[in-house]
Amino acid sequence: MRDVIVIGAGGGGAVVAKELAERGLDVLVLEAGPHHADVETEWSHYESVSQTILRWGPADRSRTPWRREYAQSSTAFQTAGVGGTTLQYFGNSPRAMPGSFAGYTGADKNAYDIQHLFPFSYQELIPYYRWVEATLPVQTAALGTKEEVFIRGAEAIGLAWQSRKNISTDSFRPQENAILQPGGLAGWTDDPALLKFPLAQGCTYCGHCFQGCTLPRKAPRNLKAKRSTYNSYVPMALTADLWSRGRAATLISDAFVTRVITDGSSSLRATGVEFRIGTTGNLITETAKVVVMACGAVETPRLWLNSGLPNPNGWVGKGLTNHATEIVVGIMPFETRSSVGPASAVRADFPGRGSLESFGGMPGSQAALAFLGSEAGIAGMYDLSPTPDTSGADVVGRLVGPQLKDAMSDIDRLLNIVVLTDDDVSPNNSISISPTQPPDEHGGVPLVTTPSANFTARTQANREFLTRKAVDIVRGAGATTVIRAKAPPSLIHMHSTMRMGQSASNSVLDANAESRAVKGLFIADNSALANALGGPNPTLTTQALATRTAEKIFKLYFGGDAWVSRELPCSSIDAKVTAASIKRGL
Amino acid sequence: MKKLTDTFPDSSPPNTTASFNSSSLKVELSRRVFLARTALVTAATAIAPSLLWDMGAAQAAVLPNNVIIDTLNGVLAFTVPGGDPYSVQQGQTHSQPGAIEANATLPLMFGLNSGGLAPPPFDTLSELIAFLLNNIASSLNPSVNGPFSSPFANLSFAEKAVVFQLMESGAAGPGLGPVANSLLLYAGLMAYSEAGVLDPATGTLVATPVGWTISGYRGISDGHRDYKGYYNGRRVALP
Repeated sequence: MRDVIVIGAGGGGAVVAKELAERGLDVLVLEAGPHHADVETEWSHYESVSQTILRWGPADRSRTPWRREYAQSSTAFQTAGVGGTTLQYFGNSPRAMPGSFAGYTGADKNAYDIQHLFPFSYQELIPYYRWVEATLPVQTAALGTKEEVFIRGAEAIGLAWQSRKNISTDSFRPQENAILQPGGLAGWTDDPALLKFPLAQGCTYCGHCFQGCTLPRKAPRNLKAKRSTYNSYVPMALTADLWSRGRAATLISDAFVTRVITDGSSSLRATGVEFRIGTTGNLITETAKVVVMACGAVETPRLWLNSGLPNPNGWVGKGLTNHATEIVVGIMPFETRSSVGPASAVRADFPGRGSLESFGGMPGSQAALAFLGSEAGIAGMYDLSPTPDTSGADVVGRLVGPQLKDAMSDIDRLLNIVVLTDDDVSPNNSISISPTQPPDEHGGVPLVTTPSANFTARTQANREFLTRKAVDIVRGAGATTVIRAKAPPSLIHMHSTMRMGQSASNSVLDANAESRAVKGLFIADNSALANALGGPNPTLTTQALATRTAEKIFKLYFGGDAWVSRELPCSSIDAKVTAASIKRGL
Repeated sequence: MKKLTDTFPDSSPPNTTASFNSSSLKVELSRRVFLARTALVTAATAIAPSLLWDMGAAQAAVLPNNVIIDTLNGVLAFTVPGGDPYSVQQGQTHSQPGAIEANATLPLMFGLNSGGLAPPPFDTLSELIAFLLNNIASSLNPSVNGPFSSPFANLSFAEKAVVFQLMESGAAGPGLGPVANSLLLYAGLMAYSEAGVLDPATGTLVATPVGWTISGYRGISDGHRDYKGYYNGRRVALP
């Protein structure tokens, strides 16, 4: 019997695994996707190739992706494999809005989703934020051309500079990113021969965050620029015996958990899991004192439901928040260099409303995600919008034909902004088991339901407010044409489908992130979040919460003491971790 | 610079309902659409597996392969027109090359076909998509004629827009909006990526991608010179 089984080696699960391995527990991590051994040779900067490697699907690339059903024109961005979706994320690591937590007393306290607050205070989470920010580490982003353009626009509309980590007023700032900032020749040269470690360190401004960060070339795994958990927490977990007084965690990849096993009739207790090895189809059972679900906001409720676990208040899978995203693009009469540099390195926050952030990338993704996804229809041809546009954009809807070609005529003259709305928890937005799809080899297939028609009035108002701000910023920066896609929710962020909450009537988890219905069963991914955080990107808060959850597990089930308040964290780029990773062949 | 709002100076969309009788089509589509929705939207997240191309996997059982290819080409020319025959047929060309010249057809087809299962009697998702588009096209314009085996590919640019309007509005059957959205999104993704000129055997490019040329993209790289320093010189945010 293991001490702890962690299901999923993504943004949250890897954090719990590292923290508890450091405490000396016997931790088994099960990851459904592959464990990439050499990312410099296995991954590709080409977007058409990368999407066949970093995807929600099995390690065997000849097999199709795992199926999902969607009730609207949107797709979930999720990656299987060690590191999970942090393999493709932008590394943006802002803290949540304080107003999303219990006990907030600011003048704007009623501007948030007050029916679904976190069951503890923002102040309580701050030490855990600091711990994660030091471990990853999180650093203030340097600027490139597109960031300077965004800031000109933000300043033009009178936004103030936010110089602190905690969000308090309408403001802009460089991102706090889980990306090692440029060092040596990084950012100073286009010459690949000079962009090898240690000549170049940290972010090289390659522009391929979404294709997975493999740079600088020749850097040890834990010194690659973007701090996916593949680069940071997982190496620490697998070498905890070498850099700390802990015990190395065990990792099994290509292991899809199909059932959480419980014991007891009147009081259920998690006792283990059943998982399926993808290459062989073999089913294996492992037992543990504690089980931690960290499969993501879609798969965790799916696994719960497929396991037949209790759902007494009906909230399993309910309450999906996704930041009700929208995209605004400005066409500039000057260069923005949108296709180079970190994907997103500057943002603006509006407490009680949500956030905006710039983004850039490769041309295929630019055309598809910024211009072709729309719920309004084809710009200039037909408009199916249920509500009129109030953003002030020049063009509203999908671009096709000559419109698309004109807009795409110079990718490096675009300024993209994604809207991250503080959207409300609603039981109408959910993950359920598809009633129409046949089960796959892992059980019932998840159905993702979150049409924009389900937005609450507050969500809709916030989204329109933020979209107007985005239009103002790109126009303030000098845009000659501003385009609003009226995009469907893009599901780049998904949370709160197994939410913790103040009330047992509308939450799955208690304040310790432990299931109310099954003891010894914790959740440590985005699904555990109580709400949409006020709009900021979720990964840092999930990781801070996962750190707190690891402490709760250690105290409640293993008689240990909390450590965050009395120790200093070891950074994932510490020389001890580098030496340990190299010694273990990672 | 020409404004996008000027692109369609005469763009008064054709009447979308007068000549369209959708009742029989709705029945035909309704039993298939849930699977199409699932599979196509899943496909839209999984770009063409260029390294796994295999023409044999694209053979169709119901529709001849040339009909499928003509239909997908009609979609690609609509999304990113160029100087190709499909763009000429729709009456909307462009001075710069488009999706057809980008060799986006096979990546689009294989991307769709690898993205999910098609319901019987269809062998592939691209076949189902072709069936849907051609059925709606024939209902919209029963007398459509042209050089291609696909009725959709023979439509004008404005008529193609109406096909997508009928799908997205629900007039052509329930649940087709996500299919239309994802198909166009996916076509653009293929046209502007390097998929059409990637050698599946070596993983290298055999030519400069059209999508890169027409978007001014400078190509993949291990890094760029674009470091501009820190805002106000501040390297660390205050706690």
